[in-house]
Amino acid sequence: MSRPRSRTAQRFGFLALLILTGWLQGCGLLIDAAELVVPVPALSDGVDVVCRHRQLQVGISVEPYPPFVFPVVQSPQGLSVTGLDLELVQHLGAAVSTYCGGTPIVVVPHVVHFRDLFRLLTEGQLDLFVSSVAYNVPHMKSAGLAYSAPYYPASGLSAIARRSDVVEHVRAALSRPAADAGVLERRRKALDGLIVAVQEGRSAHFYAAANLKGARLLLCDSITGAWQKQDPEVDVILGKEPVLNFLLTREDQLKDWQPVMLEDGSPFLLNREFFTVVMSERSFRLHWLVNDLLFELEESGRLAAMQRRWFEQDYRFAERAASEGLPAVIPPSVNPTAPSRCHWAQPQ
Amino acid sequence: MHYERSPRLLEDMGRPKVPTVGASPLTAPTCRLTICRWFIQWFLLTMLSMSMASQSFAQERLEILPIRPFNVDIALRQAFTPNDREIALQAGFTALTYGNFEIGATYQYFSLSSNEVQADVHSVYANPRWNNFLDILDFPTGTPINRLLRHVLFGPLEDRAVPFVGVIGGAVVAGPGSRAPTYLYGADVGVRFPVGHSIALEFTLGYFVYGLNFSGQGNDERQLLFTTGFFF
Repeated sequence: MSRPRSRTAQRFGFLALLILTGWLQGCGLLIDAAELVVPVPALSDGVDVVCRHRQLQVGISVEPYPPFVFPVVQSPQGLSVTGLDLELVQHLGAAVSTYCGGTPIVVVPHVVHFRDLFRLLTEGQLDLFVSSVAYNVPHMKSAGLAYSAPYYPASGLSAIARRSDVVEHVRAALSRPAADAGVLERRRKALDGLIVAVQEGRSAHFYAAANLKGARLLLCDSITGAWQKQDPEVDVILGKEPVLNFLLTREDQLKDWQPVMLEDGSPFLLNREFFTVVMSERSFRLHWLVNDLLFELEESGRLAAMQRRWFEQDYRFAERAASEGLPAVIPPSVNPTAPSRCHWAQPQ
Repeated sequence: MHYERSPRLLEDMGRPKVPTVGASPLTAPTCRLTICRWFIQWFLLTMLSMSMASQSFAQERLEILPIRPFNVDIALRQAFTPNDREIALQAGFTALTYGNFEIGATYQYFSLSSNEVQADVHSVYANPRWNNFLDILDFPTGTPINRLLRHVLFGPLEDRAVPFVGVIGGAVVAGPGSRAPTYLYGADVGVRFPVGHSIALEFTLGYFVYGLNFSGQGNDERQLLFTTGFFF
């Protein structure tokens, strides 16, 4: 008689356990109760790890974005990288050093693929990433990351063309009256039928894939790969306006190329982009530090001076890399000297 | 969390219950030799995975006892005809990270209660892992195998997945029979999807070999353990 009773009790006990388990979604109350006894420690912030290790692990794109990030060069000190973004992270290293109580912080730039950004930041292998990343580009690859305040004046995606007849083709398309189309739609349609090259996995690619349905989209590893593409030749390269303008004035191989302009001489822009520093979502303190530093640099005029120094001065980037560049860390899986490849985008 | 019983366990469950007190069929030197051999294998595997992990990313940070990510997995099963119950609990934390190399420390409790078998097994084990191990297949230049595998396995999440392989080594602290404390070893493979805000979704398939069996009579009870859950 006692055995069935024991079993009934056991079953009721198990049922009670199941019901209690079902209430576990309210375990926030358990944490509240635990905090009455001992405060639950806050999440470790990225900047604490930086202070402890005295190193700021910075990711930079394997594809160069002159003058924000120049190609890695071999200097007497080893592999070295320079650019506006690298100068910015040196300022940031100094700011973090102050935050860490004066402990010297070494900035270590890692050359990485942009596609690995989320994983490297979220897994704590990088503290931040800079390479003229626009935060306001809606795409899955942009999700789940934190973006600082912008460090460069609003720019956008623009285009350069190999031949003057392509520029004329675009201008002619823009001048055609279209009652039901706005300015932006007319600019997008002006690229219909052209071979448009973009850098794969960056904002120009996301923009073109989402909006340029009439263009033949060519995805290249780098901008260099786009202008070197011969068979077939690229009509238009779509990219970040400051980078394209800088390359047009400094790159010998682009002497035949020209910017696509509007009738009034203003740039052919397709959107607005704001370049920011990228961090992990949970690096709140580091986020504050970066924003504060950018505000200080902007208010003091030093940010504008940095921009003039990199955009307007005449210099050889290899010499700057040797004199003021940072030693670059290149993982075995990354080959900055690999030839750039292009392939057609899948039609959507 | 789901436990899949090994054929050995099912076979044991069909047997009449036998007393668990008695001398071990393995002599002490043999047992020590087995443990020693296993530890050498485990150590070599660990060193191999650590060296491969450190090659994949230079100048890594060594984080000792970062604790996060930590996890708690619970599984309950109750059958009523016949009365049969399984409870499994795992709780773990990260003991060390070095780039793509990570060591987790886990406590595992497994309870099996039926008319034939009564077993409560308490184990602790270390789980050295090599994260992103697929990236070693970064060749040929045109179509790298690692990119292909990532795309095939994880689809749109190919750049957000952290696949890993690991080895398992530890001890059964208490269990049925007279063999405990004894060894525990195995291996696991899985993938972690970082979600954000320090939360990750993880799928793991682990293979465990225990230095005892759940009826308390022999050794080398084997289990496949598939876990899925959040890491914090």
